[in-house]
Amino acid sequence: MKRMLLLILVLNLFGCSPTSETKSLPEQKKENSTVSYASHFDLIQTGDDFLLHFMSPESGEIEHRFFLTKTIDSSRTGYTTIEIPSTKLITLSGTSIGMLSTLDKQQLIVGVSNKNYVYDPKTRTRIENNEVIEVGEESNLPLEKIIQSSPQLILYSGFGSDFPGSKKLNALGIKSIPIYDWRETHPLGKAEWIKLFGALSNSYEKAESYFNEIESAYFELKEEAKTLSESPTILSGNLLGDIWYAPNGNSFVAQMLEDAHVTYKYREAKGTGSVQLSLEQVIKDNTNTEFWINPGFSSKNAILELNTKLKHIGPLDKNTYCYSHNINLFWERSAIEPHHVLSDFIQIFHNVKTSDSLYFYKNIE
Amino acid sequence: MIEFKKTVIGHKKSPLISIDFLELKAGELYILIGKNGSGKSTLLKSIIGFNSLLSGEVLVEGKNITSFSKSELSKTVSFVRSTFPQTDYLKVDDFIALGRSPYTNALGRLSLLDKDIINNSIQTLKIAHLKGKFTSDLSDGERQLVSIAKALTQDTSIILLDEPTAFLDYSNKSHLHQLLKRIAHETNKCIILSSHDLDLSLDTNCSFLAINNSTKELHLVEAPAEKSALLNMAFS
Amino acid sequence: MSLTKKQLYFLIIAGILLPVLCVVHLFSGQISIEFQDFSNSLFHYNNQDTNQIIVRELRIPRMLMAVIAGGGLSLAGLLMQTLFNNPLAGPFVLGINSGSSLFVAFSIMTGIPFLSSDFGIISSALIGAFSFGVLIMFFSLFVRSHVSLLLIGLMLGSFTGAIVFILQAASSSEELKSFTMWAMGSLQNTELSQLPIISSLFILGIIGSILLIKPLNTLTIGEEEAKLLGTNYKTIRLVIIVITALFTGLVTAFCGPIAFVGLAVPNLVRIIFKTQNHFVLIFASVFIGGAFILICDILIQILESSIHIPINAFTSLVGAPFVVLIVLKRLA
Repeated sequence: MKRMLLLILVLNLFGCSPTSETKSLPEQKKENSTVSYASHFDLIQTGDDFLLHFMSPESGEIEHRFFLTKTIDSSRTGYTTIEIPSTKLITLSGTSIGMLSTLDKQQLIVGVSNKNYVYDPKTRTRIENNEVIEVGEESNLPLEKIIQSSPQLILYSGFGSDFPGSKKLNALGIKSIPIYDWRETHPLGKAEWIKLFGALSNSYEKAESYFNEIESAYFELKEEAKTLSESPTILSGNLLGDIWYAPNGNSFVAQMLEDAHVTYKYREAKGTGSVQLSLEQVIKDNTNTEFWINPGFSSKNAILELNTKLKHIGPLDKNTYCYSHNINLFWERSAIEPHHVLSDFIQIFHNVKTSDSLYFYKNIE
Repeated sequence: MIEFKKTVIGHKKSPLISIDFLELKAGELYILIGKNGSGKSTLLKSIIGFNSLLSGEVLVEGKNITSFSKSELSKTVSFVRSTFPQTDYLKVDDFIALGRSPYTNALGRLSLLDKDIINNSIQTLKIAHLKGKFTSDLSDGERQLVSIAKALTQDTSIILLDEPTAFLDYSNKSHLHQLLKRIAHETNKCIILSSHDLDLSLDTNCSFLAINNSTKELHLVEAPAEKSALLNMAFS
Repeated sequence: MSLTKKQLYFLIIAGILLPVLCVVHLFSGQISIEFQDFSNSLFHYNNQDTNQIIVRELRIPRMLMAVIAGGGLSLAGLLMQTLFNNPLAGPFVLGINSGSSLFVAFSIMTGIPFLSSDFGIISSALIGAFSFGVLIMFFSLFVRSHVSLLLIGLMLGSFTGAIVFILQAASSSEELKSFTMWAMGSLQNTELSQLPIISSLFILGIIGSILLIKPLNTLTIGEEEAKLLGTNYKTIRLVIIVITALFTGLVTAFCGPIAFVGLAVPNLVRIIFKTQNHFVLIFASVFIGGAFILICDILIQILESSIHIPINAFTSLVGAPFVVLIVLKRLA
């Protein structure tokens, strides 16, 4: 316990501050790059094959290079070869399941982190039937179990470095690739990762066409939102202990709120992570705020149980919305359906019917 | 004052001293002698009830020691231990004043009478120059004097002292013995002190309680005591 | 025992310092509050005025909890140090805090709703504190040296820490988050409506301690000496453990574990007042303990715009070096 405190204190004092800015990314994109919005990966078509680059979210430097090829024994200097189409994948990232199921390729999955966090019904069934194994947390993977299921690739989330055991698995021919979609800040940047999954699963055209569809749908909604006259004020985030964490101005959520043509309360806060605030400050700033999103709970009682003083947050009584009534759905699919998230925002905040019902969000009672 | 009836003193499996019948009077100083390990401390602790008797009884003022309440006992018998507490920031005055604890109220407030008694003890032991010092700054000899002052302040009819002169130099030792004898006479207390310095004790000219080395019995040897007899009995 | 003029003056100064710091604390948040807001929040409360809400619902409970946590833990530390004749004793090092934490961990992580409610957590903290108080008392019967008892206390702490880690590994991330947050300590988790009962228990503990002034004074020279002076050692020891568990359990329940206050403040008090008279020590510990936490929290509030430091980390930062100083001083 004491050690954890010390760690938290040290992290707070010496960098790793959530408010640090990401450095601006140098222009690494080559010609024939298929990627326009995502910053942490690049996919270059070369005939039937692909060059895949992963850029470090911190420095922007290319840290991994893969050569995705259909030709056996083909290789390229400076690149690690991955044969495509992939046959068996273990994924530690929830969004991967969402993207693969959009392409109808979720049967490639042979391993997930935790079955309780999976939304996709087909994958859940396969887990029940023992066609998909559970491997737990990235920091502590059961290597033998993984080797036994003989996957080709492991898709990991990459919390800073390669996960323990990746070198051993690599030596046995099991490659690992980082899925940095969660660190993308542009609303379409996350969704664009579906192109990677398309490349891996021999459905690149489908992925591209799907992406183009949602790209236009997104911009259409954005234009529509601009025309709406009202610009209500929004609060996002919640307390963790004594500190309120709200998304910074350049974060994913904040950019989406911007595109939904609303006034996000803390849009001036610099950075792409979260800003830390005291409860006093939040109460004081938000007496007239009209909506509260993403409090992280699905009922008002649950929120008050966290801290009874949250009853002083203005919008709590009527206008609080969250996705937490179906968390797995949100985390799995919101990345690949940003247009639906935007649609929800517009519908909630502007009271304009953009769809029959809300896709992800629900009013909290 | 103190009566021993068929008393056996010792620890669970090893009896150390037996006393068939012995009566100790008020107004007297008794010096308890015996070889090292013969049970002097144990005897003193048995009188105060810190050690259970293996058999028999000890009566104080006609009453069995085991039937005294803690409060009554602390007003009847005081004990000067051989070790001194290692407490920081404790003034000599406060230490001695603790001797009045059996008589003060819940907050430990000292009445005028209490203060008088405390001053008296300080005067009697001639330690006025130690007032205001911390007990942790005293020499071993000074600590012993201060402990005795506290026992005096406790105003009990019986005072027991476990090797009280170990750290004093010769003239002070002798002086202390004489002082205790005088106190016993003047205030009609029964004082027992244990000692292993026979020559000094003899100079005090008082009664002895000697632990017979062979029979393990306690013998009262009235003053004036004879050296060779005592030596034979207790140390051969 | 004696009370010098100097000690009396210091005591009065400490007694005045405390309410002054309380006022400073009320006004040191990032949001600026007027005195009007403060008096209105008490006497003409308008529950629509944000500033008044902040003062009444957030700041006043926070300020009162700072005093109660600081005063309560310091007094508990004083009692432990006198009972065990050990200036390095304290509710944290003797594992009493660990007992509370363990029981609270169970409550939160078993997922049984009753147990993880406020009432459940508070009861668990109190029961945990008391059980471990009895446990350390039990060990004290067999252990002669001061250092050994502390080691046992630290081992109890490690042991419960290990169990807590196991519980953490088996619990969901929500429960984990909840417990981790609790372990960081917080003065901001009490409602105004809970303050009456908390304050009553706090005052009860102080009154209990005051009634023990004489026996505590006799205990300063050791168990045997105290018995020789007529102190009913067994009963007094039990009452001390109960009062200590009350303070520790109360504070741990509402604020989570707060380290070092119980250990450092009584030592500081003895160094300043140079006495073993518990009349002085009890009041001084409450005043100075409360002042200490208030000062820590004032600093935390001032730093809030750049960095958030949990109260537990702050007291450890300040307390640990101080304890090292004490140990060095004693060895010198």
